[in-house]
Amino acid sequence: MARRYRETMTKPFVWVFAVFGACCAASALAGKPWWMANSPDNADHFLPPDAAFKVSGAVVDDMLVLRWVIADGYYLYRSKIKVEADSPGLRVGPPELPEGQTKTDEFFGTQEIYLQQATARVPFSREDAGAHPLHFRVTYQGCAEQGLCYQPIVKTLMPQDGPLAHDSPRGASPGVRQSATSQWIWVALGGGLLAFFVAGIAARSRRSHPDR
Amino acid sequence: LRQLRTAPILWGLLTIFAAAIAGGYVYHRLTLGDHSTRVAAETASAARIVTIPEVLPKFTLSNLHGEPVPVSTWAGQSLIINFWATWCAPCRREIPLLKSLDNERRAKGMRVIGIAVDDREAVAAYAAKMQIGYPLLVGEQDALDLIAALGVAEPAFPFSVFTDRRGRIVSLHLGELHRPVAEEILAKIDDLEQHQRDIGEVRREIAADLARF
Repeated sequence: MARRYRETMTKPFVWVFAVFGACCAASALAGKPWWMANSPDNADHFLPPDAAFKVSGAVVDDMLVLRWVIADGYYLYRSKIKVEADSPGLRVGPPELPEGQTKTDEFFGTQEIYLQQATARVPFSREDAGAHPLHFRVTYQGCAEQGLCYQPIVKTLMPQDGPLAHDSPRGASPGVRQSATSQWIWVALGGGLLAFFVAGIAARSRRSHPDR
Repeated sequence: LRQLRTAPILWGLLTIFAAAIAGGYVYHRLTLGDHSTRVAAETASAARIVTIPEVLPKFTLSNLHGEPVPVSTWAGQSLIINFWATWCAPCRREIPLLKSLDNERRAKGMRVIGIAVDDREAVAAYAAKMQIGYPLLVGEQDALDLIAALGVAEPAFPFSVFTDRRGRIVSLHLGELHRPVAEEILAKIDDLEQHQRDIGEVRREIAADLARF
């Protein structure tokens, strides 16, 4: 029996599975992946701003159409959206913003916010006969329902590149980590269980076929 | 004979395992609504790692009267350095808590320092209205530089940095602070000071606490 156990445990794959399973189980218990379990911050409770509020722009019928995709649990303030010209000869009119939902708090009263997504249409004209690429500077500001407000975000959009031009981040730099704790737990638990199951089958098949 | 029987079973199970993970991943992506947001979230998080410095960086910011105040003014005290702005509702909401923590613990050598990334006049007006008794500093780019030095390079408010009396950073709490979390972190800092515990161990315990809240 002891010899069989020894034989089983010297197989590398058993160890690989066992270590992987243990790591998965440990990180599931800690609520974080094992490589970031020891950081004394709660940054992974929140999304980075560019993941919470994803903006894109396109030129449709001589209008700039801006679209924000807003993550669950996050919102944008309608009144904080601003669009300015950022290239020569470009004139930008006031953005047409759809009605938002209302949010009331004890400090700022009732305000209009956007949840899930928002689309704005912005009139513009150019006086450069197309000599310069179109650059728009878009400012927006939002918060997480759980009590975190992001510094106003400023992006330069260059929508001449195609129907869905992407933002060019200003001062992109490391920041807040992504929240994936709850999804991670299920993957980790499932992975851990499967790994132990496979290791168990391997050990069992060794016992039933000890001949080498 | 053994190899003939076990090898296929193992490989079969490995395949099932890999397929389960791949299937789960695809299902997860498909059920998340907007695909592009998800991609953005993942690429964003992959490149972002918060590195909190071991000790509080030295800095000088101006107070409400415009006079420069170095952080060494509070050397030897443990600190809650709270970053906030007047336009931020959760920041305003936690001010009563910060006021009472400062009152309760000042005699024991702990202070709350507020750093507003905001317009000085707006901060002074709000501080007067709220009767904020703890020291307030105000900054713009200089305060943003400090925030970057603390490892939060995409500023979001409020957040609070907890230090021990030696100026070592024990915890960084992002978002509105609530009393149970604050008490938990402060109790750990008391424990660290009184029993000369290993700071790494205390940080790990706080990490576990923050994951639970």
